[in-house]
Amino acid sequence: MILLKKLLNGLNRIVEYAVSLLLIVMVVVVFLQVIFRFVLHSSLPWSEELSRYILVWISFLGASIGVKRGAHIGVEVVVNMLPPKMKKGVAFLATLCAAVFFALMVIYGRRILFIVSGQRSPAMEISMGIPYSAIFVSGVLMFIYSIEQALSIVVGRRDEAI
Amino acid sequence: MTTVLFASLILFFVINVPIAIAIGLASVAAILFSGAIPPIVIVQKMFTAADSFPLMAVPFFILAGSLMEFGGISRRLVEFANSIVGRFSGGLAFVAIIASMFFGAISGAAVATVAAIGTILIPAMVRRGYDKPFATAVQATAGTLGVMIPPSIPMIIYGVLTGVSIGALFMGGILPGILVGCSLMFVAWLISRKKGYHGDEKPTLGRIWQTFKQAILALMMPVIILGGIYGGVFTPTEAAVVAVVYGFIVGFFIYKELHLSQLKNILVTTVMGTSMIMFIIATSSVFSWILTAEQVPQAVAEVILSISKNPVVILTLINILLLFLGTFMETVAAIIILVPVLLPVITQIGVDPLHFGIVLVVNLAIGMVTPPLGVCLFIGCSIADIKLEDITRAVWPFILIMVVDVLLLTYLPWISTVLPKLTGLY
Repeated sequence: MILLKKLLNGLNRIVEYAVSLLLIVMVVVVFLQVIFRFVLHSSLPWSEELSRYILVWISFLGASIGVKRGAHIGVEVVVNMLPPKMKKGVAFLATLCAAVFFALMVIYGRRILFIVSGQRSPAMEISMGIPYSAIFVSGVLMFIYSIEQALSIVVGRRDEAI
Repeated sequence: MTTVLFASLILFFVINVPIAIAIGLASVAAILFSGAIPPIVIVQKMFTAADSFPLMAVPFFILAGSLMEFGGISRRLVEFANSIVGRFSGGLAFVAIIASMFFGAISGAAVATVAAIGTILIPAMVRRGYDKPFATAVQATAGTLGVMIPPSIPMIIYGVLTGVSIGALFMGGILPGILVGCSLMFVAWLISRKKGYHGDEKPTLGRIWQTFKQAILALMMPVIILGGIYGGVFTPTEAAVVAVVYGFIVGFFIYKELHLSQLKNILVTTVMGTSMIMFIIATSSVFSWILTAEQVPQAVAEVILSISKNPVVILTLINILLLFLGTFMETVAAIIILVPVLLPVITQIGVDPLHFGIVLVVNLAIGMVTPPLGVCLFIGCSIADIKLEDITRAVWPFILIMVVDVLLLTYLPWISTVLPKLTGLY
């Protein structure tokens, strides 16, 4: 369990560096677009498309960091009124629900790749599989993280019983 | 199908499944239940929702705000505001509100504004003998100015959904933002006078000039953003990226308070803030697509129009509905789900969608400070280290005046539309 946690923390750190880098690239690309239009009076054909696809990747990868850190906001009022034991059960249930959604992202995120991989993007002419795979990859990450969370809720309960 | 959609949404909300995921799961449940729609649509809609150039303004404005905050901008804005209004009764409360207006002109989010200005001002107010709940309530409500004064993330989302020009929405938010800011100051002044919170002594003109010079680079940022959009030079997304580069240069090379070691943290928090919003946008777009496919907007329009065809009555009803939902729902999710449902009614009764957008944003902003679920209250309370129950009583006067503001904005559309029309953006 501790080894798993360490492994996943390492994985998350890599993702954090990746999104930081992607964000810098997105800033640079859109800023270049502005510079090219005003200073050089010519427009870059690929800048808008590239930055949009980076935004897709940032959005979904970033969501996985949110899952890892437990940062996604929920409605806590009702749960907070429950007795502690039930609270844990409900937390476990909610984590499983989230895992189901992530699993669907993985399944259908993979299936859609078969459809879109053959298509080329209009400007850069890259495979549409590249931007679309953001959902599949992030789905996998979030699924793993949520399973880890579900496990730690169960383990936590056992610790309390002892 | 709609019943499954809403019933499962409420169920997932109640057991505290994160909002974005709850909305996604409810959509999945409805799609599986109907059996008529291939579930692959979910992934496809999520992708198309995130694949948007205008939405890129969201991470850029978050990043620009964050760079300015760590770069020592918020402190300078606070000092400048203090030199102007610090002398009045409840002066520091005024400073919190004015500084939040300045910061709102850099940042597009309410939470960021509460955090940036509140970390300085809530402790300052407490040191000066203001009671904690009052100080926190002032700062939390002042933070909502962050979404009214341009740039504004909710306005960007509204613009993307409805096709109303984001530049026009930004321009339209200025006067309402000032109106709300002034009305908050009025309430703060009344309470401060009663409680005997005195101001500082009158600063010299030299002092005002000095703090102004210190803050000028920060105050220039909104001029660049709005001026660029207004002059037709930039799209809002491009203006946002220019703001990022500007904030970076000011923080690193001019104020020299930013350090490379902070950069990774700033980038990661920006990405997390962005993806929190984008993930909600992605799953809500599936949800709202189902609503549209099921012709819920038409049904809702029919029900509302059967009650009354009078725009004043309908707008009042919609405002009540928004106030109620805003209390429980996250702002972005509320906009994405409600706007497509309400827009047909709005246009049928002849209300300007630009005007409605502003009313919607200000109305939902009230939800950010309404207990028990107000994001701004949470941030404020965690800075002040008090419990939500303690602040509830202190925040009501401010909520009431904001409701009055929303009514004013609803029935006096020109407050929202005069500037966009004058500047030719609308």
